[in-house]
Amino acid sequence: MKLYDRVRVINDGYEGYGIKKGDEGHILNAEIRYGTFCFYREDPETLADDASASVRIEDLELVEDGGATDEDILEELPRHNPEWGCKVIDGFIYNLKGERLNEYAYDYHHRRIK
Amino acid sequence: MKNLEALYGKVTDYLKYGDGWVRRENISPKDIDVCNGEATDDSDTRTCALCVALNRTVFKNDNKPDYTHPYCKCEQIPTAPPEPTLDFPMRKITDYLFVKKRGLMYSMGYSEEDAKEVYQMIATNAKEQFKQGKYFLNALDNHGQKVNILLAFPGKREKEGHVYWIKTGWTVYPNGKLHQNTPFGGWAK
Ligand SMILES: [Zn+2]
Repeated sequence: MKLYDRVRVINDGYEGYGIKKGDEGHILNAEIRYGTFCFYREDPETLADDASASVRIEDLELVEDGGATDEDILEELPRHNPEWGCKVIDGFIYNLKGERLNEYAYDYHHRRIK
Repeated sequence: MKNLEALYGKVTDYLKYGDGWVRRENISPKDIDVCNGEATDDSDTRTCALCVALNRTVFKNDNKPDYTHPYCKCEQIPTAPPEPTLDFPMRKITDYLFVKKRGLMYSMGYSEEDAKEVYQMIATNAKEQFKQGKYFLNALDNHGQKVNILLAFPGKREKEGHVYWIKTGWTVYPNGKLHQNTPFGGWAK
């Protein structure tokens, strides 16, 4: 899971942001902050990205790969800093240097000690 | 009680700074843009995550995030209107807008070859609108304070003569920098 991927919210907890379980949308910031992606819900009719929240990685499910390359991601990262966690593969968070940032698979909220 | 405190804060701020611009500052060296590739609170200066996210951001005093908490060390410093800069990769237009929302762009008369023009239009307008204080506060979360900016989009080709009002979504970064999130947050009613 990464920038521009189409994802679905699979848990409750974001109603305050206008986002319901089952809503689909896209990841529109490259960087992972506190184990969350910046999710924008897309209205299925108007295609408006009309609600957003920082959604926990475990509350998202991939619907369709958005095809973002490492170059796309780097350009979008704050200060183009490759240290940011930005990709989730098989339960692990990686940065663009290929470093794994969490200790245990599917535990996105404890950082690995370097 | 909490509402009353917030209201009191608003009133005293207004008396102090009127409708000028203010920069929110705390003593943490971190902010949403510069934090070594990892978003955290700042334990050295005991600054919470959201105050780090808002550190050094610039807003109109009468249209700024309310976020505060007991013992919050953030201060509001009166400042000149910002000269906005953008974090806005061209790929947001070529690889996102013209891919995921292609039909929408076609409906306004635009096609892929107009990507540069669309980019320029959004960039120039967003900077101008923000500078004039014309933005709408949206959610504040781990990824910062989001705002919507409304833009007039002229129709092209067979849609020439139409004007479409759209919302664009941004995060406010320090010192007047706007980070582009979505070029299409919906039609502005
Ligand atoms: Zn704080």
